[in-house]
Amino acid sequence: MPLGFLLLVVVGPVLRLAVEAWSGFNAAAAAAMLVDGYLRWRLAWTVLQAVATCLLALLVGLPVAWVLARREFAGRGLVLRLLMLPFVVPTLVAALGVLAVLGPRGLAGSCWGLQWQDTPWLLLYGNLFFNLCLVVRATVEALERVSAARVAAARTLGATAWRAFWRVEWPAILPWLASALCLVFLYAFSGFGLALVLGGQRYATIEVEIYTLVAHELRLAPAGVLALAMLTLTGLVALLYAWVERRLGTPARADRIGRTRPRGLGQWTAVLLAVLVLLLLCAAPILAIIAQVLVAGSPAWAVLGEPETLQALWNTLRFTVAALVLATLLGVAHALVARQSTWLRAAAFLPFVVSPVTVAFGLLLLYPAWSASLPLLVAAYALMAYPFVANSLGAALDSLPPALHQVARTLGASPVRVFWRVTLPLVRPALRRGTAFAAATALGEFAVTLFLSRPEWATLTTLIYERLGRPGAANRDQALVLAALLMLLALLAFLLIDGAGRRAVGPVRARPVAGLRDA
Amino acid sequence: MLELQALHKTFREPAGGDWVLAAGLDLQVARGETVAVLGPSGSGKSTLLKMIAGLEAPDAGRILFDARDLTGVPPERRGFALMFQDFALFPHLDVQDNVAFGLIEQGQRRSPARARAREMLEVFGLQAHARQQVWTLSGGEQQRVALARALITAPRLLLLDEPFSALDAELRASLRDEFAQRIAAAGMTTVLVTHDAAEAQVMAQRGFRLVAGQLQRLW
Amino acid sequence: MQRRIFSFLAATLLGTGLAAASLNASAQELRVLVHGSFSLPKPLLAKFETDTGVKLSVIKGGDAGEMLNKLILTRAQPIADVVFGIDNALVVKAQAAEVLDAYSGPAAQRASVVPLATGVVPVDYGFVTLNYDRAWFAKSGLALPRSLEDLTQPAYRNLLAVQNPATSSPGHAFLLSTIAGLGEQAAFDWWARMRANGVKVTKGWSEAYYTEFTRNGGTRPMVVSYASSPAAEVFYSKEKITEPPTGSLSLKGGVFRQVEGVALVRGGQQRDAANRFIEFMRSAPVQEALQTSMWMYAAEPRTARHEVMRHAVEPASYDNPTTDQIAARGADWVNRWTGVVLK
Repeated sequence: MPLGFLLLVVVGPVLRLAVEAWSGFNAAAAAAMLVDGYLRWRLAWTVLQAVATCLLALLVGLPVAWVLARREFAGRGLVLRLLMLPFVVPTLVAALGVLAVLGPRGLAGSCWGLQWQDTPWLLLYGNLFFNLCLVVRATVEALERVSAARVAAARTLGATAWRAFWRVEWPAILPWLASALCLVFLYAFSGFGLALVLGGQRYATIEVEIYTLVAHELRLAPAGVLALAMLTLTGLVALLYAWVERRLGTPARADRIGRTRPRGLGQWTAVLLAVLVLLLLCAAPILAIIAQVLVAGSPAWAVLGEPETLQALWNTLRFTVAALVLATLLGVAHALVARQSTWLRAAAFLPFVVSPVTVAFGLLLLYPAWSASLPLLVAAYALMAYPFVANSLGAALDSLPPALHQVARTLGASPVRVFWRVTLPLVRPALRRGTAFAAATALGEFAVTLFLSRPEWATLTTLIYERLGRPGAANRDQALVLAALLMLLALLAFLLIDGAGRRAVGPVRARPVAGLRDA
Repeated sequence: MLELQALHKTFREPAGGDWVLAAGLDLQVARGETVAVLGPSGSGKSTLLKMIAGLEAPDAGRILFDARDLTGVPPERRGFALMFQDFALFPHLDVQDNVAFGLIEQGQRRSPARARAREMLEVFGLQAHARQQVWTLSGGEQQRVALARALITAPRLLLLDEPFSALDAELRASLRDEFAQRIAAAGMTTVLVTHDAAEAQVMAQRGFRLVAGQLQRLW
Repeated sequence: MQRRIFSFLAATLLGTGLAAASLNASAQELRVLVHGSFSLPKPLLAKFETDTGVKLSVIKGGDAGEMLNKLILTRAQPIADVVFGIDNALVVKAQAAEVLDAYSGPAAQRASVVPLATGVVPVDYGFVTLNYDRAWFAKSGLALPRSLEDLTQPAYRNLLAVQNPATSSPGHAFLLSTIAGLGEQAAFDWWARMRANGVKVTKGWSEAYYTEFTRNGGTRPMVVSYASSPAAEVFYSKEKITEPPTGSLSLKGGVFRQVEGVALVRGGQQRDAANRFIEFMRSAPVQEALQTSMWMYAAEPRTARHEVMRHAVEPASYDNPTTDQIAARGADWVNRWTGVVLK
């Protein structure tokens, strides 16, 4: 069933785009495209910014994660919990947040005259906002699983702390890091919202280029070629990711390295630096939005009462709920079916791999009768959201020891009963987590709505984008207010579904989902 | 009485090459008897138990209990209890709910099942832990809870897969004696798989070695 | 757990119900596709609805080019019944894609101040040209440029903001006029030198005018905008002013005359109401109102010109390539521009 859905909604449009590209295809044109300096530069930049994001996330994230994993200090738990926040923030809100800090009228601009508009750093900052937390969480997770015995053995065999890290801890955490970095690459590479708003004219990515080609210039053949090129690249990385993920599904070990309180100035400085870095990179954009919203005048707040806003709010809510139901069903079905096969698992990442832009336009072409119809819109939303459920659930299912199912069977439970009484309760935290992220994704959905929706189905995100495109400080402030509202909604949905405070379930922990999204 | 007739099972290694687990394997276990199967780790003894339990299907051959062919009977209806090296207690249920699990599957209601579970725990001397989470117990205690969980359902056959390998030597000895006692008291037909010859000697009346797909009688 | 299942089911039912309801909503509704700058006073539109008994559904399709593309992409099952905003740069493409039906009613028979194409009824026209900030130039003492060539001089470095022709209709228009006015090769040479001289490229008109223009807090005292923008400045200013704070520059190769029209969408429904809408757009009340809501000149002859439009002086001359040239070379020109300016 999930495969059928995937086929209809993803593979279909992609094939249609491929047909479009092929029909306009001739070797000369394709060669011209490959040689076309402009497009090569764009593609090179797209890859470069994704790789740069990976490297930066690694360089900054690894030390921060190490401090968080090895040092005990007041508020550590809070910091770890707050690291989840960027995942919940919709891309458009994040883009606005980055602008609120470092845009032409940002906080940094008014305080220190520092602004980064038209530089590549704006986009990289936006990328890092999301992806640093991903890397840090994955690394902390990995570091906590390093066997204390092994490190102790290395130390007694003569290795210094640094050497012990390099020769024992680093190889142990490498698979987790690789998995997280694959995901970072995918997000940075095929992300649309951030690149659209923060990339500007010079530093936009291929995704924006495809959007421009199709929406503004209607040159479908080159757009198709580009889309296929992107597809191939992201497909390869997605396969790699799925392969690495599969190898990570081993149950947790018992002997963890304990955390110590920092001693001495050096260690305390490290802790403070780590927190500061996180604040700057991950908290600043959100705080900037809140700060600017609080000082905005009443005309900005008045936008909350406008009928347009209320309609958009209603739309956002009902689309999200409908999409969430569909996404949960699909996610569960897919996770159950995909347990044995790497290919099926990779298929779960198809929606990540095929960018929302490609999907939306393919759908537009393949199903013109339904292009502005509610079921298709909700289906597209669900498509973007369900991988979180599938991935989270899949990881949890992987880390369940098979012995539990076998014992339950011999104690008299049929497979359905085993699922109900044993599997489901054990994966429930992961299921809730995945659904919570799916909800956050649906709330912040942007690209698909941009293409497939009718004006009376405007959601909060399209409203924000529209306000952003309109001139004047008043409109910008209104956009910020709306963004704050959206962020609040996302946070609320997340808390409601995931619940504050999970009941830890012993040594068999469902591994929290390390992946997240872009829309 | 358990009877294995001409069981065949081959594993296809992902790295290439086939690995023969059982080739025309025969075994008979009388009611109330304990039989031990020895062999080094990885020789496929666990898979043999899983085949008996119905969790894996043999390539060929039959499994009969009390002269009834069990081919096609799912594990939940065979009435065989399986115990693991790593205890396999359900982490989301407390001790007494773990023990009561099988009773609820048999159709009992929650309260009487829990009451019976508590009685069973008393027999094992573990009633103080009834409401605790399973991972707070020591290894030995967990394995005893696992035995309680298995015995409470009055199984026709008990399958033990290296039950004491995860425990230290001292504990192993005392637990081994306790288990042997309880199994004998219950008159349970048992198949024990282990790599420890001494343990097999104490617990089983007959012992075999699994070699090249066949069972060689040791004693 | 049970409660959550229940509420999910309820939500699904609700969602399906809403979907079903919306599918029925288009019963007596005229779908009008417009670009993002479309704006008419609400009372006028409401009057149309009561007069015809048909509900108006105004669908904003983004930039004019985007809007046409959407029409083309969905031509099998059109998303609108009538479209406003097809201009002289797009009309040949629209007709080639066969997404329009010719209208031959009274509005099409009447003379118009400006021509468009057969079957498409002209509604308004305007001029894309350069605007400059009077205050900035007065303060800096710099002389106004008298030709496009002047803009490439060091004195005018970093002073101009233009829009990307791929994503912006006025940006596209400006590019076309440079090509028509200077000749293709010379035009692209000019653009290359402008790139070196610091021309700022924005995605759309709003960004250029409201963010980059010095009048609104930006750093560029010259932007590509409309000849009517100074009039808008007077109209919208908070204090009463008699002189606009900005002016428009008519340079050779820097003025494009844009003519916008309304047309029937092929395959659209509500043909009767659509015809009436076209007549409505050429009716006197609309032609007068659009001057101060969309800041264009009326195409209907003898329309009373609004008082504030005296600040929007029509340029004496303009440089437009022919519509056929635009249709044939337009895409190549934009492509080449991208390679010259953006790379």
